[in-house]
Amino acid sequence: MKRFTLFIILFLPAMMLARSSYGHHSTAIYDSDNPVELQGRVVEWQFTNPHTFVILAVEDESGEEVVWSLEGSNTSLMFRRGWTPDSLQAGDEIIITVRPLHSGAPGGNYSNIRNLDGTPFDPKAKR
Amino acid sequence: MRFTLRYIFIVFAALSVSSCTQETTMTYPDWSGQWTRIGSLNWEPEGYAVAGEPPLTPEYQAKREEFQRLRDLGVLVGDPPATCLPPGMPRLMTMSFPFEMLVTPASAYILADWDSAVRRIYTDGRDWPAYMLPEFNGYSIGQWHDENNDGIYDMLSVETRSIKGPRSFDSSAVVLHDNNETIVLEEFRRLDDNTLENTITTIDDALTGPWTVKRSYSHTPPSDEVIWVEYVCAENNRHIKLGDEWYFLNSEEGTLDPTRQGQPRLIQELDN
Repeated sequence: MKRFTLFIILFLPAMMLARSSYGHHSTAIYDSDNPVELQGRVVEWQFTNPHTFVILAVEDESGEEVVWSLEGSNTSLMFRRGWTPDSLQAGDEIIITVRPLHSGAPGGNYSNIRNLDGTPFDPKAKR
Repeated sequence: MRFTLRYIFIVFAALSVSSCTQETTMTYPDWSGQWTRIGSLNWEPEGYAVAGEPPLTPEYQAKREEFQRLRDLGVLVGDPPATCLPPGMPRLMTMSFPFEMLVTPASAYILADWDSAVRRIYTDGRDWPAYMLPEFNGYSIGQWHDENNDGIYDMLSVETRSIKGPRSFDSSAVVLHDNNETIVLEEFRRLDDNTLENTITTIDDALTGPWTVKRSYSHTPPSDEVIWVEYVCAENNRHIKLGDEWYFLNSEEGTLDPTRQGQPRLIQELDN
């Protein structure tokens, strides 16, 4: 199995974009000052309200797989941008920007889904 | 005498016809199509950084500051919709998502994608009922006006009372008073083909005085291209409040994960 890595970088423009998409509630539980980028394997894509979720399996620095629950924008905005329940599929490998929970638990708020080569993920691409 | 009676009858009939003619010739506006929020999700459309801070009483300003302190720790306080409570009035009118406005002589309806909310605004001339059951969107009575006297109604004024709580103006911990004695006054005007403006004045005991904002919405004409999206908050909400503690539901692991440091993770107690 491919080894997944976790690394931390600042990615403020994507964070600001994600904030502008939120209407349902505050994003206070997420640490906006310390975003991380996760590379991992999609376990499940939940095209739901009040928020979409990417369930992502990520291998941490010790080699253990951790499953993250990542909350994103809502179906209203994402559908208008071309996302559907089929846009992501289990097994897809992606890079994603995450504002993690303040607590350190494996959850967070996602934005900016990319392919492994760093190009933007195309939600309209035929699968 | 006969002449006088006949004269009175004619005058009365003429007045009646005139009155009926005025009623029947007034035209209701076509505000159909899709309306989409312009501006930020702060209650002040320009955002508080530009428009200034909310006019809160010292008590509610202190409450806001305490909420913000807790939020910095990861506690999701001061934002009732986080647990899937409705946004209610007046927050609904920030319109996180688009809405539709249907006008009939007896009522105007606002159909919002956000929370699949419906506002019913009575325009049939009724008075306030003796008792109004508190509801998150309140009880709304409206009146149409013809501001430019062209025979077409162009402004809808609305008063909303009996609003249930808890509510906040937006997601920035600006909450309305716990007594829920809020009154919301609105004036809807279509400024041009593309713009609907709502001048909203909120009277609430959390405020130092009436707070007026102008929110605007841009228009998409009704057509097959207009997209409406269902919104059912209970479908997959992960934000759980137990007592005074907030948790993040980890459905995959079957746990309630902490949102702040030092908070225990709650796991299922399984029978062996």
